[in-house]
Amino acid sequence: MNGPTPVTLGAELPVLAPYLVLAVGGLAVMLVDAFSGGRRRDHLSLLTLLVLLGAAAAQGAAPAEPRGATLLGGMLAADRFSRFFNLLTVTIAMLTTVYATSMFERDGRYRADFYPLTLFAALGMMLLAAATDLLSLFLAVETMSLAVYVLVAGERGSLRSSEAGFKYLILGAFASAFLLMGLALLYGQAGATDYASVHRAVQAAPDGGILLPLACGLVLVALGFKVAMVPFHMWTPDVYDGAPAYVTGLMATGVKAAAFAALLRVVWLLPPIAEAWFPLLAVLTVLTMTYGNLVALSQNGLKRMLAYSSIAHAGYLLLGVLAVLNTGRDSATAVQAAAVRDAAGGAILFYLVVYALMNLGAFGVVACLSRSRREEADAIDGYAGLSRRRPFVAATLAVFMFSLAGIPPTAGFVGKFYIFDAVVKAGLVPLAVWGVINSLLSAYYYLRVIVVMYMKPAEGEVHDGHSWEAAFTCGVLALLVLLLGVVPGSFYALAAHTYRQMIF
Amino acid sequence: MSAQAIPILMVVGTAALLSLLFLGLSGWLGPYRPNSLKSTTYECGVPARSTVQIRFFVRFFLVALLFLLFDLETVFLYPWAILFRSMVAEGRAAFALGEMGAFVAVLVVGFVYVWKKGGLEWQ
Repeated sequence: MNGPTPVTLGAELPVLAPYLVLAVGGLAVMLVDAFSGGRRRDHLSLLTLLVLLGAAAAQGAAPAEPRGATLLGGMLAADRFSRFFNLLTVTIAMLTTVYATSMFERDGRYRADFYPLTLFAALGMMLLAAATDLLSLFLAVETMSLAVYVLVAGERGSLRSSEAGFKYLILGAFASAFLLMGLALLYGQAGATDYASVHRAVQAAPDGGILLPLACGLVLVALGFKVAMVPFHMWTPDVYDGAPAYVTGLMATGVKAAAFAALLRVVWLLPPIAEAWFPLLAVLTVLTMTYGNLVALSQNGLKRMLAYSSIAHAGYLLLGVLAVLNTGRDSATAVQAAAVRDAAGGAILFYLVVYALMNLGAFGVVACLSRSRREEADAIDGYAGLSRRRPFVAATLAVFMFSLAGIPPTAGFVGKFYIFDAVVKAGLVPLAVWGVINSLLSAYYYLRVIVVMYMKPAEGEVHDGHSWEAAFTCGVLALLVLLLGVVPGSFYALAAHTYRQMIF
Repeated sequence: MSAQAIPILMVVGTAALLSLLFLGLSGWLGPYRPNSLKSTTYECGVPARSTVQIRFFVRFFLVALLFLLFDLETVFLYPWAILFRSMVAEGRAAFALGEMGAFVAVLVVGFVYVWKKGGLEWQ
């Protein structure tokens, strides 16, 4: 209470607007739902999309802040990095809303709590990507996680959904405890909670005994849990599989992107300690990639396969984080090191966007082909003959699978190329080679889906749901994936520039 | 670090030693003549009639949760009320009021939601 309290709230309002729009919009959607009586709930989806559009517009209209500007007395960053993630999060939430509504309409049974919860989850993700204070980091993680716990468990009457939500809640609470303990230790060392002070304290005492490495390790455990890093991945298959497909898409893309954004800020914050953890992090990254890919090989359900694939992709992204961390060690000059770090950071941002596009596309296809929420289009065998039944949807899913496998000319290939390129430049050639081998391994299970769709005749139980909105969205996403695969240059430059402008 | 821990370790050690000593002494010196009444579970009041692992009506859980929410609100209000005077003295009255107003407004929205959704009805 003694520090300078922000009285400049009015001046910060335009930059805070995206967050405020989502928060107030979420509350408004709750109220509208409460007062809608027993009627249909399709106006809620419209309202939710409007709120998300409003947040995007507010973000677009927000004035460009000078480098180093923070909001609310150092709680949130107002940099290009947070703007980048805000727009990504809003896009992800909009796609999720479209998929969810299309599934609700097919059932004729609306799940009204989905809409405010999605808005609150998106708010948490945006705050997480912008957090520049230990307290706002924790609050953002909790805002996001609480909403997602309920989203996962909210499919009433489905035992698997409840089980998934319960597992995620229990394990997530553990992860939060780890995070809180780590943040408390950091605070104990630094005597302040904002990143700038913590950074200064860490620089002043790089070998401050056991406390800082321990704190850093605890924070890494918590963020590793959110991004599904081995050995904190145990929840991933069950939760991704048990949650409804539209929520799984949100978790695999939005939660992961936000957690990686926070991780990028945190590793930037703690360079000397992160260095102490480097060998362990490298081993865990290799394990994450390998485990995800090996176990995905033998999956028969598409959602479960995508869950393991999401573990593997967390591994590729962690490779990028390792490249960011390693630049301080080998590179000849500081300028060179900064260039490599920007390249690696830009590669991570690029990959997160590409991953969001292709993964949301894949989950969108699942949502599109599901007959109802009880019968989700999960079994891979059910995709047999899809190329004849639904040539368009099959083509989009093929694009997403090619992209996930990293085959040109899709964006997945370019994203992996940038990551591996940065890893090589950072002097970690063996890790890059291992990443490429893993990528080859993963081609088997992604291409299997395409083989089933195009070369197997339909027999037995096949997926034949349909939704125009979901199919249209998947088409747009497939186009974007191809577009970013053919002309990635300017977008990559934007991503690298965004990362360079990141403040902490 | 380790030098500071020695007194704590001594306290822990002494406590462990003493309690073990008393337990051992009473076991060694005390008479041991059990009967059926003595070996029943010790309880005050009415004897237990059934096991305690019964099913609770799930609505209790909802009520407990709502109680917790509104209880926490007052927990937040207290420190704010104490600080309010000093904040007014610093000329930040509007900020203090606005902050608590936003908090209570969010809570009221939740309250209205619970009310309209029938969370407060017992049936």
